[in-house]
Amino acid sequence: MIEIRNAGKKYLQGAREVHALRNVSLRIKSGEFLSIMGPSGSGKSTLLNLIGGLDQPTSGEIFMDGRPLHGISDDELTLIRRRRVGFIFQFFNLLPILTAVENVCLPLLLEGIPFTRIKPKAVLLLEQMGLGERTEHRPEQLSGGEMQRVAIARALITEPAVLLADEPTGNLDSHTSEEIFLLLSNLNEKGQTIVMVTHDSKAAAYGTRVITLKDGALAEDVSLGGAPS
Amino acid sequence: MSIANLLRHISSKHVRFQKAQTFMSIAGICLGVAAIVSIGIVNKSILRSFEDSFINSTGRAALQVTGAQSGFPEAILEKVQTVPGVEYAVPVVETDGLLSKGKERSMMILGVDVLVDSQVRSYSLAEEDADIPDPLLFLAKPDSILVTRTMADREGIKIDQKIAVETVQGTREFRVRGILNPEGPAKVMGGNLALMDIYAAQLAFGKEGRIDRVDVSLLRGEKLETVKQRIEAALPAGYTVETPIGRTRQIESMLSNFQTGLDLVSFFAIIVGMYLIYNAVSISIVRRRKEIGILRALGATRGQVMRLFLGETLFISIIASALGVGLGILFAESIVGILGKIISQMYVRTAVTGISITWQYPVLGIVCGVVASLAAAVLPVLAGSRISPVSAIRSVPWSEEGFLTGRRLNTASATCILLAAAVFCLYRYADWTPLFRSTSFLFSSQLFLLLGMSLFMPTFLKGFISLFHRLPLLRHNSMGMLAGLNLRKNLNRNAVAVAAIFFGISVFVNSAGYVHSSKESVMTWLDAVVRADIIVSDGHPSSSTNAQTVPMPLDMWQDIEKVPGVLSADPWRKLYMDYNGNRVLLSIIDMVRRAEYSHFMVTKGDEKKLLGQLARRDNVVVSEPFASRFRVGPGDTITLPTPTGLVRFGVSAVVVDYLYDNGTVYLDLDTFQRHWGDKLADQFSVRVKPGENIVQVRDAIQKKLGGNRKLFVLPVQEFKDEIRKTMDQTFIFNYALSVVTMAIACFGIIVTLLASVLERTREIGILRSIGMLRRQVSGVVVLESILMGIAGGILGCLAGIVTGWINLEGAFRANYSSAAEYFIPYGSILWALIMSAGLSALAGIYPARRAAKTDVVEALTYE
Amino acid sequence: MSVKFAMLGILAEKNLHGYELKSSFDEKVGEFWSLNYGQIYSTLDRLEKEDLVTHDRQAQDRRPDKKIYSITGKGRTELEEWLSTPVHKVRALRDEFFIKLVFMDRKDPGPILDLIEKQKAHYLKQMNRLTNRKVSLKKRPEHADSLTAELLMDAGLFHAEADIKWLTLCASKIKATMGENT
Repeated sequence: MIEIRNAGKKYLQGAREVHALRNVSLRIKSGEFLSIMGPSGSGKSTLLNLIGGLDQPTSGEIFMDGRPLHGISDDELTLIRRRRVGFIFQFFNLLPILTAVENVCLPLLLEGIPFTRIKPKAVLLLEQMGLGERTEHRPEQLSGGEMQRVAIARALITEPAVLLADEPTGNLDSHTSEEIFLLLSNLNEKGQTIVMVTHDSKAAAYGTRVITLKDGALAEDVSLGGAPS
Repeated sequence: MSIANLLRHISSKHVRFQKAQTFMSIAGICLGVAAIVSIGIVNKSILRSFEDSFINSTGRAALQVTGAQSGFPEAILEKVQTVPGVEYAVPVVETDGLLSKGKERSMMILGVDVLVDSQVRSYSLAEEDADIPDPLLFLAKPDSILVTRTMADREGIKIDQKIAVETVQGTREFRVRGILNPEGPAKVMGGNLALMDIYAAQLAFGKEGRIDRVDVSLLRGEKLETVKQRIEAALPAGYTVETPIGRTRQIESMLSNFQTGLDLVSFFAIIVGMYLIYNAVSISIVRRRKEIGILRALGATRGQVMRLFLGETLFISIIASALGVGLGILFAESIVGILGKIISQMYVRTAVTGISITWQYPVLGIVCGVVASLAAAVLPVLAGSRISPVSAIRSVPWSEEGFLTGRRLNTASATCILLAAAVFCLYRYADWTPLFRSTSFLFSSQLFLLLGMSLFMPTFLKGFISLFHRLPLLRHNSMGMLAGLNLRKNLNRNAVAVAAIFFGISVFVNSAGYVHSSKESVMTWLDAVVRADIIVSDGHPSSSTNAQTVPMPLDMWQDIEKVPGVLSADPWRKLYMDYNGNRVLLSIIDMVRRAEYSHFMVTKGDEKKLLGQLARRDNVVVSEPFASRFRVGPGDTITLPTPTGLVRFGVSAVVVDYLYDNGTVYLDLDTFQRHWGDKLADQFSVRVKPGENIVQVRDAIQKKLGGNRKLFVLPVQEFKDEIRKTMDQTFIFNYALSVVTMAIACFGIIVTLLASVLERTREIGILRSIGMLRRQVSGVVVLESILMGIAGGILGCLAGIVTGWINLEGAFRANYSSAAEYFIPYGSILWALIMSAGLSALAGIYPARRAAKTDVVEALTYE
Repeated sequence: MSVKFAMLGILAEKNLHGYELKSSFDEKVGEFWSLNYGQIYSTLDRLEKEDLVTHDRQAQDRRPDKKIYSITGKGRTELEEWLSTPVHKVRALRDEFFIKLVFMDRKDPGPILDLIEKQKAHYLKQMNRLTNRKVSLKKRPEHADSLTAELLMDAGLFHAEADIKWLTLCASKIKATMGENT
């Protein structure tokens, strides 16, 4: 469902040209739980950003469900991001001024759907995340794990084609991390495609496939066998 | 909650969370709008009060016939009455009067023909006399007077009571026969009106046999224009037939320069407000960069992000503008009296009693506030919408430079300054186009200059800081070092705050320089022209030039000369008249006597021959503005309207003269009396015998002549001082507006420093953890503030000098047609620097306190 | 050494005969420790000699008597003492892969780097299996000993992770040093 052909990304750092990504080709199949690993600076996040339409490649092509993500306008890219992609970040990136349920509703609100119509779904999602009691809390009143679960609910509300997670547990302790991974693993079991950047092999072990990047290029691609049964 | 609602939801929370910043933004825009609204309303109210006066005092009259200001013969009335189409033509004597009871009160005295006037105007008496059909019958006796309810209530006047009124013969008593309801004419001059029989008024105010105005009502079905032409044809040249509205237009045009000047200065306040909004929005965007990043990552389009921030600005600006309108109305109420007084002294007597609020100014204020805010916000918001979601989320350090690099700014700055120079040159040398001549056009040159210098601010500030770092006192001082580094960190943003200060200071120095220089010119001229020892005048010296007062009989000079110690006394008479559609001043002196001790500052013509040419002859001397406005010089002739018809006068010389900016014509007393038949004087110049004590002589004159009239007897030095004071007063609003501008600029400093303090929480935490004292932390912030203030102050003074010079070159030359030398107002510049340092230090206090309160532990864990 | 205490621990809960003991052992620690019956019985003999366990005979139809083992008072004391003493011996450094490293080609790092990657992939797959089992364990939390089982799998995961990290470091250091030489 996601196809990357010879994607490259370079940018200028001062006068120096930096290749964040070189000639990466990759196919991600629907239902996969792909982990992207690699040392820092290897281009993991850059690749994730390209897949999620946060950024565009300077060379090469990216398709999501056959539609290009490269060479389209910012508004078109933004709409794909809004409708087809769900993001989970290391630092949760919830808006501190909004309550949990408002944060979850955000992507659909941006779509112009009235809050009252989204809220039941958001509450349901939060309940599934075990946050039924915390819907009206603000991020500062939540623990790290709770914040990340709100972020997952937010990512899921649009029923995205792909869920992207960038070091989703980088800021959480092992136990809390495990809860988050179990959530992701459950989602994947139900068919959700997930792409996750991580440096934690324990996290990657939840997935179905691990790729390793080195210096912006694809170094390893390991299939881990079937999803948990 | 739809999308709009959501954005509103986010915004309103931010508005509340960033209380201080929101408050400053609102306060800044509010003050700016208040300045515009109050000046607008006051200007309008003053014009409105003129209109009311004219329209109320004319009643049903469709046309007014006016002639020379000293009045014209009653025979003219008969001529008007016989013109076909005229229903009634009624005579009016209109004069300024003083109620000399306790605190003096000025009022308008209307002398009307008791028999016919009610055909044109309707009066109504207070209820106790309501059954009397025609209140004017009360005036049949010469000592009778009617006053308005307004005056009666205020002064505690009762019917049949006697009141003292200043007349040409001195203080006279009149019996109040009735009290007028505040309707029609009784509303004139805010109700400061007394009604007399025309004959009694002529007698009391030295206008025997003459009238000031004929009010004409038309027969039904007659066309205004036709009758107007017929009347004009029936009268000798020199008479004006106008509708009452037409007369107010004249006044409007007379005041327009003064009022436009104030309007324009009030706009400076909103411009400084724009600097504030620009910074507030930029800061808000930097601070909420991550939020923008998240929203963008979740699929908010650039348009949505822009709408979010512009929406916030719109919201804040609407609230601020609405508050500003309210504040402006309050301001207007409190300043309308002062401005009215200034206009009375400078131009024409007016008695504005209150403000009249029309819809225009509140709307203008809100539009200005909102448009200025949105315009100021556009650039930062555009930059905000272009923030890359990737770098925002990853907290990649924000580089503020971006598009606005130093080189680009400096290029823009140079362009603006060149533009300013071009505009000024057009104004100065291409005066054939009305557009190029207008005050607003000149104003735009100043604006370009200020804008250009503002754009140069980052470069200037950088240079200023490195200069500051070279100071040996501060080079090794940690606080000085930190302050400099902090200022350099957010150079552009700090430069904007400095630019606001710069703007405020430049407005102040501009006004000060203009006032100082025009004052110097006027005083130099006064020193040359006024050589007497004592000035005896009918009114306060401040009103000696323009406004109307109750004049004195001409032959009072003989009484003055009888006072021991007096060497000579000679009269001065001033009259305003209409010349080619312009109001000009007629200044009458006794050439023979005056020539003994005083002289003209002649620019064209032969000074030595002047006495011979002027004394007892139909020759005049004209002022420079007159000469340039009407393009006349020595050898030309001008035709002036006199009560006896048009008379041709030869122009003998052109002189420097600052009596009246529209133009002055000097005439010999003898010639004047011959043509005008006026026997009044407004002022006497008294010389004291050698060796006599001026103060003693002054007291003697006061004692002898001041007994039964209001008389101002002043040693010439005091007289000049009073004029100086008056000139200062005229510009009080310019100063007030620059203080308002400075206040807004200070809000800008607070917003900027507050932001920088919050951004460096971690840094402050580190400094505190390694042993920096709270007072050192706050010291650094205050030092930054002072540095910004001084930087803005220095450049502001420079800009103020240049714009002041432009003003003087432009406006002064436009008014007086003579170049005034520009004097740098050193005193005011010193004040400006002290003010900029002092106010900015004050502005730094709140952010400094916030910085000092930083909790070390929290700051170190601060993300 | 630990086999001894594991068996004492099992018998401390319940008296069991040899076969039951083996099943219980497999269930609890079988994940990383497998014993055959011979080992079980030889250990029981030793424990009996040390007076830590004892046995009763239970008669059976048509078959020899079953020995039901139970823990003695001495055994219980020794078990408790063992449980409250931290483990002094940490994980052995001796590793098969390490031996391969010792004999790697110092001129050409290629083969060893390939090996490292393969080894890492192997570990990852192992981790994936452990994780999958953990996930399925999580789905039936009512199971009596699921916690210890889970903790055991966690241990496996952490060890594997450490190995992967170590291998990554190896690769990086090998590349840095040998890269210079070539």
